[in-house]
Amino acid sequence: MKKKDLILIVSILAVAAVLGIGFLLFGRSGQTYVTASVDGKEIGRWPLAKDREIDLDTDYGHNHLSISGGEAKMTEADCPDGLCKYQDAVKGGDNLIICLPHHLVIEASGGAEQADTDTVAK
Amino acid sequence: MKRHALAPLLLAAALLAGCGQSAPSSSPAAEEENATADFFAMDTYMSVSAFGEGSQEAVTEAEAEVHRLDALLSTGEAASEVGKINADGGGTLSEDGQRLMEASLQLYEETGGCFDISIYPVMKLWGFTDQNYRVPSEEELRGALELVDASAVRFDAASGEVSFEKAGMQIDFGGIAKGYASSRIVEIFQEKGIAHGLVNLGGNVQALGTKPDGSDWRIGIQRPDETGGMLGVVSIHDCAVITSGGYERYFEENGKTYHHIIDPADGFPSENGLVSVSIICADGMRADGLSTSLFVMGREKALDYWKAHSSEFDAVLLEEDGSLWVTAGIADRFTSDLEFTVVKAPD
Amino acid sequence: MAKKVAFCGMLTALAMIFSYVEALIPVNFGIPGVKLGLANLVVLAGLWILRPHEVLMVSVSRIILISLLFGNGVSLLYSLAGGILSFFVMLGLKKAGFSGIGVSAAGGAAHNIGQLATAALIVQTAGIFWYLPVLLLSGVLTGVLIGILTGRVLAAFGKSA
Repeated sequence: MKKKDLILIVSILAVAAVLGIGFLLFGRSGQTYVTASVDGKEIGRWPLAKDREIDLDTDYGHNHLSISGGEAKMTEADCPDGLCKYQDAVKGGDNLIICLPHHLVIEASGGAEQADTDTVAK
Repeated sequence: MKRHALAPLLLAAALLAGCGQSAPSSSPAAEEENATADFFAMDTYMSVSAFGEGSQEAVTEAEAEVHRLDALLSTGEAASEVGKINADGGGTLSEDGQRLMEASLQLYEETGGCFDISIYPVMKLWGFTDQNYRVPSEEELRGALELVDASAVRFDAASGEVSFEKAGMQIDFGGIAKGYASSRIVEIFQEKGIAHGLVNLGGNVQALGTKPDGSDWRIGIQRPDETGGMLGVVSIHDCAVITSGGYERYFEENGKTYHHIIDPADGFPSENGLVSVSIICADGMRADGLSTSLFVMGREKALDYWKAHSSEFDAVLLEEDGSLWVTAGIADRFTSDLEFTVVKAPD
Repeated sequence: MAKKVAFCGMLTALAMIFSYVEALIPVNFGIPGVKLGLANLVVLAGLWILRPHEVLMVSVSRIILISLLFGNGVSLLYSLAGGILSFFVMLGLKKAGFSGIGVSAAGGAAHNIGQLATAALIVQTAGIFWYLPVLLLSGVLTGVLIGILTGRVLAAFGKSA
């Protein structure tokens, strides 16, 4: 290994560290809801505070989301790799669960009330 | 050598810059011009916004149009078109009046009488027209109900002439006037070449096109209780979202609450468990009329009605016990913190 | 010529075996896309013993075949994005005079960036870039490891990276 290799490796690690610290500092936290979206479109939003079992059946396939103790975990998936079942639970912070074959993203978010609306019908 | 060490950093920076969804879509036209007018008309607060070139002119014209319609349709003004017809027992309707009359009579037919513009004499008894609220006696109500019968309205679509078969009948377009006004504003916007606009006439919302950035408008639906929170949010474009609920106007007497949505069948505020009905429909006037009609129908009949007309509109219904019903056509564009049941259309 | 094709074929088969072996060991880091990337050993070694287009062919064939056998359309897409981006980054760095470990570390990071960008396109969620720091880190670490391994392998061939 040459000196320039070391510089290269250290600089990539530095980028990772700067990004990581930045995301931690500026990332959202204290989110109280969990949102499921397919192809970037929200398909459901549930409070993390209430335990429940949610079947997510989309055009791409079946997933099962389980909310308990303020955490959301993917407990079932009929995609080929099933990787999403091993991903860390979504809590109040910035973590997300991704089921790539099903184009599905589970992430922490604010409630619909906190979500921006353009106007209110009443 | 240094150059190469920087390469990954630049790559990561480029990726990050590219991924920001929040990055403003800075097409100059979108930022260039937009206009909003806030004003008071039809006994309520209104807000009209247009985006893009010519928006100021369009908004000014929209405001003038609402004031014109207000003067034309006000039942309280003896000199208004509706005021004169009610005083004279008939007359000739203007073009606006004709469109309203045609839609009203059609809604009357379709909803089996749940929407009735001839309810006006009953509204007067309850004091909803002048805020002198009181509970009418049975005798008074029976007398006034005699006059409530939109099928006794003779309307000649060719000449615009209208007359009543029963002497003393009176009409009020209040149930669809705001919806008609928002539809008219959208028409004006379109004539002016406006592609994006949002209208909120005292809670009656109608959108033209999408937001300037191309995404759907997010319309919150107010919760009927006093928390000020929302039932949910619908994402729509080119659509009206109109809500009816007893909470909009009501009074209390001897500890009982009486709201302003009167069932034409018995002349009393409708009590069927529904507390809020929102209609999502491309036609603002129709949405306005249907929100009242479905409110009067009650949940079961309202959902049956929707099943028979599922291609024309969608609805969000809330019942006293908190159960929330959302029709299938809007379900994937509706988000809520509450649990809701999706109503499927018949196959 | 035929000997070269056969050699490329053997390398492709070897890379596939590495992918398979890796899939057999369920290493779970709690984050998608974090894996050792054993197959990269073949690509990396290839950079020193084959011509660039031959290495690219081995890499792409490996990815397509593995996806056909064990994966699906989506995994093919993002594996390809990662594999191709990683290949060109490694090729460029090798030509710039970096040694095996540096090339491999940057290749690992590039592989993860390519996959992540494709994933972000597929699920249409920019939030997925939240994983970038972790994936850069893991890409570099596994890359260094693969780089050291490749150095040993090449030494056995009598070559030096």
